[in-house]
Amino acid sequence: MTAGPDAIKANHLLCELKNVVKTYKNGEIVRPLDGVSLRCEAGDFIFIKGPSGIGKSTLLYLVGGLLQADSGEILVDATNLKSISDYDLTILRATKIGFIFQETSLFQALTVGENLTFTLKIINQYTKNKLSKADINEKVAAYLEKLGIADRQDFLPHQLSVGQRRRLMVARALITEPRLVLADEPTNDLDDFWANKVIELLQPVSVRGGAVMMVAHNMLGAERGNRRYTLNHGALTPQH
Amino acid sequence: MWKFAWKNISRRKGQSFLTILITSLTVMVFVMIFAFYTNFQQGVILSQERLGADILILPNEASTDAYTALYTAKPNNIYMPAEILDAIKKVEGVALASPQLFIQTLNAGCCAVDSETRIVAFDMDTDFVLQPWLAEANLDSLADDQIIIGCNVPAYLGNRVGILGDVFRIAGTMSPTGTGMDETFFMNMDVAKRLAATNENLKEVLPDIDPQAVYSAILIKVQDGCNVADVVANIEKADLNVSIVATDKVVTNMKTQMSMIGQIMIGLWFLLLMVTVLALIGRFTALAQVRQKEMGILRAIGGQKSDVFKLILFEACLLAGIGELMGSILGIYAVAPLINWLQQGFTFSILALTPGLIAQSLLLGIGIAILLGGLAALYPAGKSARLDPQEVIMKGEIE
Repeated sequence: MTAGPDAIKANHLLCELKNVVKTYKNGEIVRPLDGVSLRCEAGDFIFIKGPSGIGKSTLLYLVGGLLQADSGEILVDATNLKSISDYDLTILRATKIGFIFQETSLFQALTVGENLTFTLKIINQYTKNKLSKADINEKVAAYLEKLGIADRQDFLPHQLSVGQRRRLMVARALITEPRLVLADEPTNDLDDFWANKVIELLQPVSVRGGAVMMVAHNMLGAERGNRRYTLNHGALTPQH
Repeated sequence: MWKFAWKNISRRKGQSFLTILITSLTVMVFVMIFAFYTNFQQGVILSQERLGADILILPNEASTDAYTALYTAKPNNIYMPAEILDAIKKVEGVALASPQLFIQTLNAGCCAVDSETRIVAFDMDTDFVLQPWLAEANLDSLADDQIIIGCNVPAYLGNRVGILGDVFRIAGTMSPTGTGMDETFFMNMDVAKRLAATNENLKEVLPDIDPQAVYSAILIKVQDGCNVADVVANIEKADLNVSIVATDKVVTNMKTQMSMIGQIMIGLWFLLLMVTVLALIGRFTALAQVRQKEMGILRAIGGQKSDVFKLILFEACLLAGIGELMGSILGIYAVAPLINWLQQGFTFSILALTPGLIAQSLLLGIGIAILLGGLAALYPAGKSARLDPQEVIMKGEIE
């Protein structure tokens, strides 16, 4: 599960998009991605900016295997997403990718602590070195502490503020220590202090040999990215 | 996944309550119908087994009703000449014939039977119906101051009871029969004749008869190998001006009537089951719809399609299980007073609830709940499992 620095060499290709096209047909035809190509290597922190509704989330969902491209290829850790079964794709998503969704996406009947515990238990079923109950509890406590919601461990999601919910979603994505973190507007609803804190927490993912792909409609966190792009009219344009 | 399912149920109390209520009511109705009907059926079979006689001879009077004579404890003061017994004994195929005389208690004061209850007097020398009960109570015969009481007759003075001014010792209590015998006093024929002849109050309610020269009923056991219908035909040929009732026919008629009632009950319950299944399908589908996004998240963090399927199914089974438990308990509680009430007013045989029947009802309730939960959850569980995660997560979120 853990992608430690020893396991991943620099320049290891974690994800690659080759000429990806995605079209939506809802009355009118919209093509948010029109032949997009992108390489994401171990250690990368890719920052993609673009106005709302331009297709940034679509790009992340395609990389995460939650959407299928109309054409082109998407490889995650050398696996072509089109060539594997739904079962294997689920395992790949669970063990290698961490999602931070734009909208609130928590299990409403589970407490803050249980949301994280449940996530680790799901991952546990796919890994050889399973975490013990004590390990899980320790890990959950550590992440709640890092994100400043330790005192809300027994609260249900609806009892949290919008910002606290966002931080919980960040904790859920990071607690599995994925190789690739796909962060969709992770600083939404957060004040400056916690927005910076979340960006700080994402940084070590790339430092330890993983990679972060973050999309946002503003420039908050852009300075952390080693590669920056703008998505507009279906194309990714590098920014310097 | 069970834990997650349980938390979803216990922390969404409002939604769970409604589902449990629907399941509980259906199971409750089923348990009530099942317990009542089975109880009823067993009562009739038991009546037949314990009645002991193949043929019942009653006076040929318009008011004579075999059902009343067999299944109720209502005083039934009907009489026929005693000579009929001798004629019956001569009929071909009759093995045993034993007379009974019906009298009754009267409304009386303290320390006595205070309602009108049937007294059946039997002939110790020829009786073959009550002898097994006497043997069970370790008695060879009944003394003049002894009586046997039906299982539902209370003793008023410890083991004594006051009847028509005399005090009798209770020699034994009969096991339940599900018939009017359960509410009847049984005494020696000679004692009953004496009471009928000497008690002025009783004389007022009895027709103008000589108790020494009449009987109310004659119970017949046919010879081994003889057909009951043939013996009935032989008695008819003797032209004795009596009402002849083959007891198996009475029971068969009752069974037929019961079967019809049972079919209607089961039909109505089946309709209720269908309505409930449809209601629960709607309920579980709506719940799954509301939680589509959560199912998408579960898939996104590593849950397989089978996990989504299991989660919905587990929740449905837990809800149905809780509903089953509550429905079964409520059903058993509700059917007990119903049976008590019917025992008082019905002419059919109704026994008290037995632990075996309660256990059977509970087990069947579990079966029904699994059927309900399983049937109702399969469609929404399958539908949720087939959803593409992105479809449900990204609703309204696509840029």
